[in-house]
Amino acid sequence: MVRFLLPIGTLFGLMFLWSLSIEIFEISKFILPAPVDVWHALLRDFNSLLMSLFSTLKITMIALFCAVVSGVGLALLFSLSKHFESAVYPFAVILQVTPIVSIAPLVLIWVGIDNVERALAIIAWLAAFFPILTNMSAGLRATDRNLEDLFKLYGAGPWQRFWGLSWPTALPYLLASLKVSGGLALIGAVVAEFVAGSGGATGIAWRILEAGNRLQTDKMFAGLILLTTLGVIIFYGLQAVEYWLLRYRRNG
Amino acid sequence: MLSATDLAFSYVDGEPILGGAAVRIANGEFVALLGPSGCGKSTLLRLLAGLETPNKGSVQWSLDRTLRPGIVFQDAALMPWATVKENVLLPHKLSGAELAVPNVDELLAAVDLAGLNDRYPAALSGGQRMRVSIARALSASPDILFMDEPFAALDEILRFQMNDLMLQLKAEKGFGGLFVTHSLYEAAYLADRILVMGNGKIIGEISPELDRGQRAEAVRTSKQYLDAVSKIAALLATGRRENG
Repeated sequence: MVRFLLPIGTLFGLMFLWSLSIEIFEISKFILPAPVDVWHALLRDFNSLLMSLFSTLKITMIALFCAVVSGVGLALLFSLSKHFESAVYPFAVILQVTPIVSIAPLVLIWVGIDNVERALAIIAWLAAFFPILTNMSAGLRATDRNLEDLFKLYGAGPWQRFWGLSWPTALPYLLASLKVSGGLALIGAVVAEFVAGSGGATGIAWRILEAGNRLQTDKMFAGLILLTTLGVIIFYGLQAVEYWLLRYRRNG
Repeated sequence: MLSATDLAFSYVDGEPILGGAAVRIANGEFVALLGPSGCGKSTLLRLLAGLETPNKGSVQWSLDRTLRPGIVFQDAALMPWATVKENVLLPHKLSGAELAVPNVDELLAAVDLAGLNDRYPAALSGGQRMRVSIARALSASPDILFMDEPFAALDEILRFQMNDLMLQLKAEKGFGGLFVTHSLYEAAYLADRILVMGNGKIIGEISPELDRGQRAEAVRTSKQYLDAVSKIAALLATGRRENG
């Protein structure tokens, strides 16, 4: 209970200081709106902001799904062939280390002109894909040597070995990377929307950008709050999935 | 029922680990492999169990019937994501229809774990996990049990308990076995025959011939037992002098 109340108390304390400093220093609401103004903006624009949030959520989920499919698939191919891994892995690293903001305009030119959503999903996928690939690869290599011997001794086939040993061994690694990639997919989607600008994007990041151009700082904050809440929900949602799937790890 | 002649083994580009080892294990016989670290004990066990292929020589399993193996490792090596029951049933699941479905309740009762079928390994103590791994090895109704330092990770009291459990199960089920150990006391207590290894070869052999009718404490203080221990120690010392 204390663990829950402490951060909430801190939040209210900070909001009080925030309101107080606006009064004392007479800060313009175009620079920093008071918490109560942000609250009003949130209520006023709630429906349109929520629609935009769903649009961003949709891109994020599509990207995360594609990242899981491609990351797991590629990790499986890596585990089957060292040569394939040597041939492909450096390019995965190059994609990872190149800042996503700098690739985004290219992706938008290539696939975004007739379908902006597809370009946004690709950019978010690029951001989310790498942790899944590396973690899944590590997980597939982490099988217990003794259990491998046991499977060999009793004549297990390759499928039995995979589903009975490799997959359950790799699952905790995959679930840990999902929590990282879930956040990265959201960041990727937001970055993509910023880069796309008014080119047809309707997500929450675009709403924030638009509010900024109109000097509606309170609405910017309202959008930011919704975006952060979404990030937190994604993280804890994936954490709950992990908690449930790995319940065998707990005693009793 | 299991014999091997002139076994040689080395990893690619590595020093030879085994050079010309020969082993015979009769039906129902318990054989211990003892020797200093790095002498090739575990490699010999892996070759005999068919987990590695020798560079030279061959391993013959008995021709009259199909020999069923069981294996116990130094750590329990349970699947953490599977319940005790699922772990015990693993050999049956992997080898398919050849084996009758083992009676898990009976197996767990035999290793004193009755009623823990649905627990996960995380909820078991170290000794309990080890006993699950023994139940798993027995679930395939093995003719021969391969054990690679099976109780090395346990404390002394638990180790004695496991030794007695092993002897009791062996008497009930009649399986033979080959086990690698670092402990001369364990070798002398458990084995019908002890093979002492040095430098990739078998350098000596001892049969303790203990009177198994007595209680465990009586066996552990009997003259035959203590004689066997000192003979093993002497052989190990000879091997060390030859190496050094």
